[in-house]
Amino acid sequence: MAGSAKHNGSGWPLPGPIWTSAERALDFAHVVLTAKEAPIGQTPKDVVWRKNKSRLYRYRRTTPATQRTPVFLCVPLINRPDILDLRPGGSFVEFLLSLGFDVFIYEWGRWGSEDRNINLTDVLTRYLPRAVEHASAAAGTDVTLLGYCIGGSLSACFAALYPEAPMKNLVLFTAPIDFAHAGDFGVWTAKGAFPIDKIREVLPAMPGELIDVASKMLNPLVNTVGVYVRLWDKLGNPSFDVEGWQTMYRWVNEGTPFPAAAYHQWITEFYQENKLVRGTLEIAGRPVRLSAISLPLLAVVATADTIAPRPSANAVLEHVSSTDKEELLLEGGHVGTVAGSAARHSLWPRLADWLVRHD
Amino acid sequence: MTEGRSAQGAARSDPFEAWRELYQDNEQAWTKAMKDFYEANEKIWTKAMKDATTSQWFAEAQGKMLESFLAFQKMLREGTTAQLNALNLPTRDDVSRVGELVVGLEEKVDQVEDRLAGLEGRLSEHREERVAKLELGFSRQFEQHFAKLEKELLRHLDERFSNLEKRLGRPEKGTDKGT
Repeated sequence: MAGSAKHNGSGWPLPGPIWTSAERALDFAHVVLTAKEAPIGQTPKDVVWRKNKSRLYRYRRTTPATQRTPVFLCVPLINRPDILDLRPGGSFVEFLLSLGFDVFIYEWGRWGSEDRNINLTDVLTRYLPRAVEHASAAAGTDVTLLGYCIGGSLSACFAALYPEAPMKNLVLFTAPIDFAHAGDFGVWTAKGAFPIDKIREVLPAMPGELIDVASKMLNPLVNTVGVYVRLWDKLGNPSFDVEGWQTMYRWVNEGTPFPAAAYHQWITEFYQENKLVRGTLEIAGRPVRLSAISLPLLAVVATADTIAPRPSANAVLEHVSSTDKEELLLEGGHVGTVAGSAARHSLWPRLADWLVRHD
Repeated sequence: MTEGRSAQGAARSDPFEAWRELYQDNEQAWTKAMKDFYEANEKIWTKAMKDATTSQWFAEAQGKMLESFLAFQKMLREGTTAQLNALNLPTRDDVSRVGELVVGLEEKVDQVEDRLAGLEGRLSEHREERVAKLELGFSRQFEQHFAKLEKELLRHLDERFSNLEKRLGRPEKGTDKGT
């Protein structure tokens, strides 16, 4: 489609090279404007349990699972869950299924204004424990809990709060743990500068769009103008994977609202007071001690991660009491290490190896 | 000759001709120049922006912008709420409260479900022990009842036999009398 000269000499008033550019411009507009419709998260799945807007899904297998330990995916509260299931041929879920794993995903859903008082305590005591219990009951065995980004931070809190939960392993994908090294987000959300109380008072939920703007500000030029310059360039390449670009573009630009109370707790207790690493975090009156985690642990860390920089993400290894713990350091950023072609050749096979060894 | 003149005239009167020539001559060069300019400067600009955005000043400025946005949102919300109240129409908060009630109700159902599951779990944990206890108790009771029943039956049979013996004894006497 892109860059072809199919209209050359067809009687159009513009000469060939100009038409090619014009066609590329049309393609460019079409690719960007239709990205919102790009199909993502297509791997078939069934609802196992539901609560409020959240859904626990089990992916359909065409053959019986050959691995004993199912994988439970815990995704971030601020994004669509589809980053782990972008599209056929580029899906982490599909990859796990092909290796013989039984895969569950817990999706938070799209929080509404009626959820403004739902905080992380609710998430960690009413939502996640039940979802893990239901997944384990459905599979008939303990699960590997795999959390991505904030989902990873919550998974770490959950594993610390409920050591008796039906879990066999813990995998954290670029999950911020030590907020003393939170990077730019740490600077922007600092006490005194960030109006977190006002946000809690005015907004029922932190809009996904605002969080998206903040994420783009981490590298403003590359994340805004750069995206389109690179697209323009790629449209000239006949082998450019348009669908792949669109699915990623859609995922990046479709944030989900973060309930105001949960967001307030996330910013104050995690970013501003760094309670998780300091050991002062309490959930429903119970202390959250990372040292209570003794499960086999894999911390996936990215070298160029600006959301969960390496010192923040790998700090978990210092604080847990697990004897079997490992850091998997990968070249790339927060998203690129998990999804996309680089992930397919780097993270996925190495993670699969770890999961099979810990089955 | 006439045809040639009219073609020339049409070409002269085409208002886009000049633009088309300019575009044709320069379009690709401009595109390339812009792209080269961007690529050559991306790193420098990124660094400059990074320096600016990681400063305390930027964080405070961003915070103030956000506060202004929130103040505007609050004003807008209060204005809309006042208007809806005047019209006796439900506000977003009213609808949210209904939603909250539903979510709360669902949580209660979940709690009941959890408790039931807990009870079931506890019951199933001690099921064998309980069944064994019940069996033992039942068999003891059964033995006691059976022994009692046996005793009563024997006593009853004894009575019946002795009555029978008595009855068998009476006619003999009667016959003796009659004869």
